[in-house]
Amino acid sequence: MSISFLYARTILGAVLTVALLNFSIEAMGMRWRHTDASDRGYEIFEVYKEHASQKPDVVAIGSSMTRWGLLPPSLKEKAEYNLRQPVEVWNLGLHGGTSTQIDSLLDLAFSNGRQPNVLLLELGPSFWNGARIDNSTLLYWRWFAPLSHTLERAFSQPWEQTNEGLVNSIYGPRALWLNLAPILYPEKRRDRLQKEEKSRLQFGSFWGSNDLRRDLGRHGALPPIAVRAAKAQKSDQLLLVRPWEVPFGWEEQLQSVLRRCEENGTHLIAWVPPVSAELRNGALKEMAEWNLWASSAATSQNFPLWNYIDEPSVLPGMFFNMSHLAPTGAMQVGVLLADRLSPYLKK
Amino acid sequence: MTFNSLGFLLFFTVVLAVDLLLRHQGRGRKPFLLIASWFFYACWDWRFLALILFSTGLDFLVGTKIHGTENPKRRRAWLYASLVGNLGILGTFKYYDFFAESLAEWTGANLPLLDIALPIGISFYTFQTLSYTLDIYRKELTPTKSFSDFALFVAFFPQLVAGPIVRAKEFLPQLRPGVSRPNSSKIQEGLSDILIGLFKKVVIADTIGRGIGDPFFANPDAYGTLGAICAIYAVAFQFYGDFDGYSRIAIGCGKMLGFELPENFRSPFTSRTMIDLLRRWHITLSTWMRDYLYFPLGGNRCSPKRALFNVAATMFLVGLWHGAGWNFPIWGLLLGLGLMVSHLRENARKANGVQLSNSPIAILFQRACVFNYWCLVGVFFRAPTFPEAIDVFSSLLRGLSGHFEPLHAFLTTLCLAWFCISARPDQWVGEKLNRLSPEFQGAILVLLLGFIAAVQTSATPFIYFQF
Repeated sequence: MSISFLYARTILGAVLTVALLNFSIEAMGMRWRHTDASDRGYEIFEVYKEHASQKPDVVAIGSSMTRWGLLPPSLKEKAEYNLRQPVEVWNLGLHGGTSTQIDSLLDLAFSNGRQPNVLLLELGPSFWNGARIDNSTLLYWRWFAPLSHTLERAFSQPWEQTNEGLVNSIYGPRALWLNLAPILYPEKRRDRLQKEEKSRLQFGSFWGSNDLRRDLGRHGALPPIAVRAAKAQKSDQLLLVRPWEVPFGWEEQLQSVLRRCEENGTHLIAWVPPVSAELRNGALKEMAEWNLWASSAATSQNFPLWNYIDEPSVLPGMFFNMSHLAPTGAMQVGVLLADRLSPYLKK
Repeated sequence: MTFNSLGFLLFFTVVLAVDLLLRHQGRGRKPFLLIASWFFYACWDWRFLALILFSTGLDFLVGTKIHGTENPKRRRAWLYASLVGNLGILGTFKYYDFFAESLAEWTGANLPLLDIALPIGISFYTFQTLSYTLDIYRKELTPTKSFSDFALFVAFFPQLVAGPIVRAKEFLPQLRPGVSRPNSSKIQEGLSDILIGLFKKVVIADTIGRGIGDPFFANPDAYGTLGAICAIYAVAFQFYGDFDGYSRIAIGCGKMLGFELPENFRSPFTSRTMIDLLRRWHITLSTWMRDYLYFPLGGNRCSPKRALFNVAATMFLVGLWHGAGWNFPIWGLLLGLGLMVSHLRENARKANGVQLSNSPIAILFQRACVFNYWCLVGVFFRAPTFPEAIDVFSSLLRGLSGHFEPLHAFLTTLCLAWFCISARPDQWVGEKLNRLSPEFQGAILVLLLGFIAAVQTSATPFIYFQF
C-alpha cells in the first residue's frame, strides 16, 4: 500500500467517524448538553434553528441579563394586546455573552432576509464588560462558531480562537464523551454549579475560586516558584473582573450595530436590564459612572436608551441572584418593554 | 504546542504532508525537518531558540575541535568548555533561583533572583548535546561534518521537549541518505504508538490527575488513610501514563517520519527489584546517567563504600535533574537507598549462589514490594515541597475519619490490575492496533481527540515538560 493511500484511508476513517457522530448527536438533540450546567443558554441556537424561517419583529441580544431578564411570551402577549396584531419576539441573550459576540448575534438576527422592526441591544454591565472578553470570546468559538467562520478568520484572529473553533467542528465525538463525563468526574459535576454560583456572587463573573484551585492543582507538580507565579497570575485575573468596566473598542462595536440596523431598516433601542439592590448598593459610584457612559453613548450615536437598572416596579423578590432576574421579574420587564415598544411595532 | 493539542495535530499533519512530498529528496527533507523543529520550539517561546542554537553551535564546534587534536590537554580544555557552557546555561535557567532562595534561607544572604521562566526541554537537549561531545572525547563517535544534521539531532521536534534522550550515535546514522525513509508499516506502527500514548495521557493520566491526584495533593489534610492510599497509588499511574504517554507519542511521530527513537519505558511496574525498575523507567535518562556519571565515578567495581557513594551521588543528581526543589534530590536519594538495598541483596544472592524465586507468589510479592516502595517515595516527587510531602504521610495515618471516594478506589484498582497483572499491556494493545485498518485507526484518533475536547478546557501540559 502506498503511503499516500494509507494516509487517505486514515483521514477517510477520521472524517467519516466525525460526520457520523456529528449527525447522530445532532439528531438526538445532545449537541448542547453540557455536563456542568444545563442552562448555559446554548439552547437558543436550537430554538433559532427550529424557527429559522420565521421573521421576528423584536430581537433582543445581550448577555445572561437579557437571557433571563426578558421573557418573550410576556412581551409578545402584551404587545399583541396593545397592537391587535401578531408580534414575534426572539431572545438571543447568551449566557456568558459579551459585546465581542455582537457580529455573530447580528448574523443570527438578520440572516435569511430577516428584518426585525426593533433590535433590543443590552447596554448592561455584563454584556459590555472588558474583563470578560477573553473568556466569552473563547466560549463562542468553542461552542457556536461554524467551521466556515473559523476557517474564514483563521489567519486574522488569535490562534486560540481558531483552535477552539476547530474543536467545535468535532462536536459529535466531544458530546459523546461529555455524556460519559458525569461517570468520570462525579465530584466535579456535583460541586461545580454551587461553586460557580458562589464565585459569581463574589467576583461578579464566572471565573471562580474553583477554577483557580483546579488550575493550580493541575500544576501541582510544579516547583514552588512556579506555583507562586501561577497564583499571582490567577489573582491578577480575578482582580481584573470588574463588572462595571466599559470595554475597549465599544464605539466600533456600537457603530457596527447601527450600520447593520440602518441597512435593514431596523430601529435600534438600547436597554439596561434591572440589577438587584445588593449589586447596585455595592457599587453606587461605579453604577453612576456606568449610567453616564450609557447615556452619553446613546446620545452621541443617536439611539434611545431605556434604563431599567434600578426599576422600582421590579421588586427584590423577582431576582434569583444578584444580576439575574427570576421568571416573575422577566415577565414584569416584558410588560414594561411591550408598552414602550408598541409604537415601533405598529404595521 | 503540546502533543495533546489540536495545534500539534495541525502542525504534524502539515509536516507529514510536506515530508511525504520531499521523501525522495535527501537534500530538501532534512532542512525542512530542521526548520519545522525550530518552529515547533519557537511556538513555546521564540526567545529560547537562541539557547538551543547556542548549545548546538557550541557542541558542534567543540566536537570538531576535540576530534581534530590528539593533545590530551586541548581535548580536555574543549570538553570543559562544553561542560561549562551547557551546564552553565542549565544551572542559570533552572537552578539559580532555587539555590539563591535556599542560600537566603540558610544564611540570610540576599541574592537577586532572576525570576525567569524555565526554557522548555532544556534538560533534555543539554544532555543530548553533552552526550555527543562526551562520546567524541571518549573516541566512541566521529563528529558529523554537517551542521544541519547535528542541529536536527539536537532539535528533532518529537523528542525535543521531553525526551526520550537520544544519543548522537543512534540518531546521526539515520540521517544518511535513504536510511530514514518512512514506509507503510512504520507509519501504521507509529500511528498505533501515538494512539496508545494519547490514551495513556488524556484518558489515564489526566483522568487520574484531575479526579484523584490533584484534589488529594491540593488538600491532603481532608483525606483519611483509605483516600490517601488510593491517591498515592493513583499518582504513580498518573506519572507513568503521562510520561510514558509522551514518550510513546514521540516515538510514534518519529516512526511516521521514518526515524527510530529509543524505548523509554518497559512495563516498569512489573519489576521485581529496584535495579530492574530503574532499567525500565525513563530508560534513556537512566542509561545516560549510568554511562556518563555512574561508570566514570567507578560504578560498583570499587570498594563497597565507594560503590554506595557512587549510587547515592548519581541518584542525588537524577533527583536534582528532575526539578529545582529539595524534595527532588530527597526523592532521588530514597530511590538510591532502594537501589543500594537491591544491590546488596543481589550481591548476597550471587555470593550464596541463589536465584530469584520464580514462583507466582514470590513474583507477586517482589513486584508488590518494589511498587509500594516506588509509590511511597513518589510522594516526595509529587508534593510541591518537603513539608507538604510530610502532610501526605500524616494523612496515611489518619484512620477512617477523612474523605474517601469509592470511585477512586475502583479506578485505582483498575489501574493496579491492568499494569501489574498483565505483563506487557502496551505490546498487546500495540499489536492489536497494528492489525487494524487505517480507517479504524483514524476513527480511534478522532475519538481520542473528542475526549480531549470534552474534558479539557485547554491542553494539560505533560508533567515532564517542566524538567
